[in-house]
Amino acid sequence: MNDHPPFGTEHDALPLSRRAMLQRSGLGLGALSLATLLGEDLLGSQVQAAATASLVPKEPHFRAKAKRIIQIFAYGAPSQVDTWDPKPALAKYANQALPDLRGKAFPSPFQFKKHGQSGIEVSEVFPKLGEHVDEMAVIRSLYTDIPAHEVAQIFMNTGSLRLSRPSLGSWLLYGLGSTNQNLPGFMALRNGGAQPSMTESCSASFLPGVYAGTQISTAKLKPDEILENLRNPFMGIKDQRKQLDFVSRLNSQHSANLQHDAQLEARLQAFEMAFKMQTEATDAFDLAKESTETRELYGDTSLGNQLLLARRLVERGVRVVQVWHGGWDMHNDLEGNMTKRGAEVDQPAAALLSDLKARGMLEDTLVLWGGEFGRTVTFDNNGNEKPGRDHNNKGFCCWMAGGGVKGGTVYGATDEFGASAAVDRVHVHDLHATLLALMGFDHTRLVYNVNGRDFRLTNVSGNVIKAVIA
Amino acid sequence: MRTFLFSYRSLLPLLPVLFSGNTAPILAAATPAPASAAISAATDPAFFEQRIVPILAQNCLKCHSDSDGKVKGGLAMDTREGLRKGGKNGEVITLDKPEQSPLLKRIQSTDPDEKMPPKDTALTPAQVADLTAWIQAGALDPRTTPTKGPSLAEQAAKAKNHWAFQPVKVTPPPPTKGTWARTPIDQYVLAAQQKAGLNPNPEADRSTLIRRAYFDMVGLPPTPAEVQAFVQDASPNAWEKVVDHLLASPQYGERWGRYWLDVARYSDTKGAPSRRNNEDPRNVDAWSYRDYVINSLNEDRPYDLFIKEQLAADLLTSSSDKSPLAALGFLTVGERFAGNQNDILNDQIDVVSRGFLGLTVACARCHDHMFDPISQKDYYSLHGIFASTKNTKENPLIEMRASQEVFEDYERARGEALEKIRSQVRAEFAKTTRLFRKNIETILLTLPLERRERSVALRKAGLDVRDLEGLRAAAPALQSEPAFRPFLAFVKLEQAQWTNVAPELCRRIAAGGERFEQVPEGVRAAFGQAQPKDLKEVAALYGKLFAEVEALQSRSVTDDPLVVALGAIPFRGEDSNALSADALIEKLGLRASNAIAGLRAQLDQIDMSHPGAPKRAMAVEDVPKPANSPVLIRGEAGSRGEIVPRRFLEVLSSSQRPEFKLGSGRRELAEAIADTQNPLTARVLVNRVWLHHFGQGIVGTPDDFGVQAPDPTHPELLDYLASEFIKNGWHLKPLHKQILMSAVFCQSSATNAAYAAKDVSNKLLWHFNLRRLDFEALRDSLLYIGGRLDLSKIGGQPVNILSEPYSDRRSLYGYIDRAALPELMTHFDFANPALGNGKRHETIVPQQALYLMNSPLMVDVSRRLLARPEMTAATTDAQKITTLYWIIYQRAPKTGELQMAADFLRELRATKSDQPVAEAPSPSPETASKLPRTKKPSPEAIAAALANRRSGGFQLQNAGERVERRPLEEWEKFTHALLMANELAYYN
Repeated sequence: MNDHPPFGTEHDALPLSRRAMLQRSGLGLGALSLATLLGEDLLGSQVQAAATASLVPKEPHFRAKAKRIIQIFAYGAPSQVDTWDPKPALAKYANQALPDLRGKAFPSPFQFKKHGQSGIEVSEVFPKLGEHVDEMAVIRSLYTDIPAHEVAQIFMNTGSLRLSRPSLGSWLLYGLGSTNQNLPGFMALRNGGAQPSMTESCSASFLPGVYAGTQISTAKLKPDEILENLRNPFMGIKDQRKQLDFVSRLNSQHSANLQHDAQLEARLQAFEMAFKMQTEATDAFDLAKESTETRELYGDTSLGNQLLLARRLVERGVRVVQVWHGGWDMHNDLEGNMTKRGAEVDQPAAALLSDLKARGMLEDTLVLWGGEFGRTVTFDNNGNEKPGRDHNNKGFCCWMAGGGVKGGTVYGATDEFGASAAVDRVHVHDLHATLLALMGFDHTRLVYNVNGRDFRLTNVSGNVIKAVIA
Repeated sequence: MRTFLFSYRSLLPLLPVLFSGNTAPILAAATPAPASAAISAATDPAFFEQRIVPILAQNCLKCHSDSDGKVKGGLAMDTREGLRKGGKNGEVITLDKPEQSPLLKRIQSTDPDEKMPPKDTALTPAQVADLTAWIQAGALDPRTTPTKGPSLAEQAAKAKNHWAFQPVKVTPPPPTKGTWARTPIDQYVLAAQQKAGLNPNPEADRSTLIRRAYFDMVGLPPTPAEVQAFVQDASPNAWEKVVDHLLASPQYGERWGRYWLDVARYSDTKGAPSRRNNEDPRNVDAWSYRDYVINSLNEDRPYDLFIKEQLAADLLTSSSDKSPLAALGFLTVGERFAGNQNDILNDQIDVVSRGFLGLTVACARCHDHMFDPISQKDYYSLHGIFASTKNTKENPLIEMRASQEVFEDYERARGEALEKIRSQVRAEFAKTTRLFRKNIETILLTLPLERRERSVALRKAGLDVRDLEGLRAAAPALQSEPAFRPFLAFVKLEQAQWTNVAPELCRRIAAGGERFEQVPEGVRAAFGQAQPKDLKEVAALYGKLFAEVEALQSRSVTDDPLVVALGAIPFRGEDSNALSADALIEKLGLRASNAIAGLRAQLDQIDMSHPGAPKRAMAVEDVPKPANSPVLIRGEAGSRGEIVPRRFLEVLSSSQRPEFKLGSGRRELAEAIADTQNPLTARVLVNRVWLHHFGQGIVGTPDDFGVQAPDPTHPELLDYLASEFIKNGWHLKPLHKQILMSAVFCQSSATNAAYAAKDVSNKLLWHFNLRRLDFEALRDSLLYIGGRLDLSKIGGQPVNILSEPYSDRRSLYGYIDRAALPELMTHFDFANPALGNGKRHETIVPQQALYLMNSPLMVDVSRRLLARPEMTAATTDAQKITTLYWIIYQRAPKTGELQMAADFLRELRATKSDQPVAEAPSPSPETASKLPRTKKPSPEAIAAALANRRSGGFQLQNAGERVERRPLEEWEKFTHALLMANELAYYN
């Protein structure tokens, strides 16, 4: 458990064993074929590739069920008391002032119903997801540092409020590598325009660029818009194959003159991967290849397509898929908006869980739903006819399912009214520590050394919530 | 053990000596001691002091100390209370069952998750016995003050021996065998090799050598003619001529300047714009700093001056030459962290300390440095210096770049943009003013309410708070507006006072009595005739007055006393016509609407891209009253500790460390850094230079020379270079020349298995390293090969180097947005400007290959290359192939290669071309216009940005044509293939 090789740092850049060199310079499959390609004289070659990072699959600190993660990021900050944290006391004090809280109690307009064997209460806005509670752990005691959207979104993704830090997805990719070298290992799907916080939320920061999240707009999935330079507008694929074969001949000659340096071989492989990426990425994004039943299961909606796409991607070995689903910032008309948003996510997310399960993938795929903070349990003070709720960072909720999660669990609790996390409070750093643990990492040891300091996702905090891990 | 009991006190004076080693104190050597005896001893307070405290201090307090702000698991062991209380899992000492105490279990555990202290350290059996005895005896803890871990003084004493803090010391170059060594550099390197049983390579062949020198020094390949001239040059100084030529090339500053820009975390933007403020995130003048760096290198500005100017150019001379002010961009081109002052200062401390000194001082922001002798006080000494420094209000003009005519065109364009802003401001002011007048009664009646309630009340009254955005900011001013003093006086009236006090109040107002002297005449008169019975009626009075003002103004009456008195409310003193451009922009700061934000972005666009825009420095100046900073406990802005003087780092100062008194102290700081006696400055710089020449530093971590850094591979060489560097007047060019003239640099890159087995990573430099072109060199070389790289001028405003129509300028002139670094640059390992970077990552990923396979740039280069006169002059296939090899690889093809090329061409000719897949229409508006990061861009802002896209919008756009989308012909495919191959991307 503690014999995992230390992760890369600036300080350990040199020297490298031959195997390590191969792993670092080759890219995944490349490492294998390189080893067979090259004779023992490889040892004599130059090891500039020392600092070369790679997506080669790596073992985590300890054996964990979850091998990949799909995160539905409900940005805009969903209300807790209308979704996964029922508070009947609010109805009792409806329209009355609550102790220590500004404004008057706003009881949830939604009914909660017990579901599954665990009997977890779920809001009526999630009838289909309710059927999956026995696979879920619901955390009801989250809290975060700041109730401002962009900062809190970045915090939820990187564990840092202002300073540039790698995102959760980047850390996971850095720790685990990817099992598919022909697709980026960390993708963030959005519907149309980018959220302001998205770039920072996908950033690899000081980690090598290979670990950065790739943002993909699913609004119109034209093949050449999925990834930059995915298509050649000047040449057909057959001609390109011929061309690359010729490049490969050029490279072999060149490489032979330079003792088959590992990085030359790696670059040669990178072209082969890129070539495959052109077809593989287009294929991965082609939802038409799914059956009618499956498409109906997810529903032909924006989020339905995104979650189906997410499944297609993780199926192909993509390590981290994040789906950005906004519209939860309900200052006005909570009832109408929540009904709408709830319906948007209910069917597709339930479909995702069923589909993953049917394919035997739920046990090693972690699914997470949640936003950047919660909402007030009192009326938003904006005087709107149809009332909403204001920002609240003191209490909110999320759920996780699949990969190693102890299903049918409720962890933590907010106070009587749902305003603040009160029992078994879970800070964002604790959530991060727990997610890393589910993926096989001791969050204090998944570190990267920058300028002499070991940085980690959880900064200097974080406690794993063991109760949600099966 | 009787002896132990009896002699214990008599031994006390000796204890410090006995326990000076932290393991196995001799008293405990006889352990395991009979429990009872040890327990008896442990009831003595001295036992705690002498036996327990050292254990805690050495092993526990690093993570469990409240006074150091580190209480892992909620457990603080530095105080009696903390230790008694335990951690978040409960008590660690259970006196009812002492032997069950979690503390004892944890120190004896073998489970890596449980064991304490963690990692490889463990307590000695004697220490375990002492702790056991102490707890069994009741865990007597006489502490009244917190225990300290190893003090900084102790750390400093230890770190004093760290090589990097020792003075630079020159050891004469060792004698070496053979004739290989030409220079002292070679002697140091060869001696180390010979010690390890290695021999260096012979000199590389000339065509390899000149290619190496060109990429290394200017980031571009030599031309075929340059290669041939060198290969044929029989003169003894042929190589030196090449070196001198490159050192004199202006492209040298562009190549090596970029390395420093990595260190200086250079970017053209401030980072994500402040969320509360619709500001444009661009630093429109940042490029003046970039150009300062390039020019400094080309002029071979002494490095000590380079340091001083970057820290304190404004304090150095009173000369009229303002151009060195551009150097201050070193401090100002960093991220603005949405305005968070302490983060900005931290960034400055970080870039200064790592950049110049290789010290990670920013690690001491929240606590003393974990490893290096840098205290938190040191950090706040520097904090005070930069906190006493501010950006100048306007970026001073340092150079007119264009002709009068072009400049005037710029002035005109800027004036127009400004006028658009002004008229938008006027329109918004007017709109809000009308709204204000119309609703004055509600606005006044809600004035006493708390902010949130007020906004609800306003909304209930049908006023959209967003329309009153300006008003929200103006509200506090309303409280002090003389015209409203009467109203506020009535607000204070109790219910019962309305009958008796109100009439008297009206009279007093009308008469201009005490506190009402400044109330305008018209308002006073109104009160003279009024008999209000409640606050509503007072408000109604104002309603009437403002309706009158509105009516008068709509008839263009300006001289009516009422208009004069009330016409400017609520925007008193903010006549947009009267304000200067910058004052206007500053005023807009917090209340800029999206429409204004869009217009302001256009203004920035003009400043950033108009050829007539003068060069301005992103300068700083001292604040009027420089002050020392308090230590911020745990780095928290709210927890102010001891105030520390502004001065240099303790570890790099003599025992008499002077306080900085000249203004902020930046100049004194710069002098301390650039001091010839400073052991770090020169070493850090020569190591950076060495790193870029060889691909590996003498010290592996160029930005960290602290205790954690790996030892230098060649310590004597490092000191030799540092001392020569200072001796040569801190000039970089002689340093480059020394290195380039060495046999180490000129040796071939050949490797062999036997040597690799001994030194696989080539620490001892027995061969030259194979080097990959970085992003800039790769793109520049491609454009150069295609004959389209513009080398005609150095510096200038940033351009778009990534999208079509492509810029012909070198990559370092590309626009860099730190908040949204393009994926392409990330994939090519561009240094993330979030932090200073002495060394980039080197990755090989498929996305790099996709760029070379598919981007229109490659097609463009291929076509242009084929159109070069050398190519059109070639008639046969063989001639063409040969010429292409010369231009792209700077060598002739071998016979086999000619054959291979001919075969490929024949294959292409024999088969029908495969049709490309049609492109999606591009660019999509979504990717083409990066809107400012506002929450919801208004239709106006979107329209403004879209309209502006032609001239760049938020992405700069170059003039010119897109690459023509027609299928490639055989020669284009062939050329493109040569450009993709490894040989272009590497030199050896």
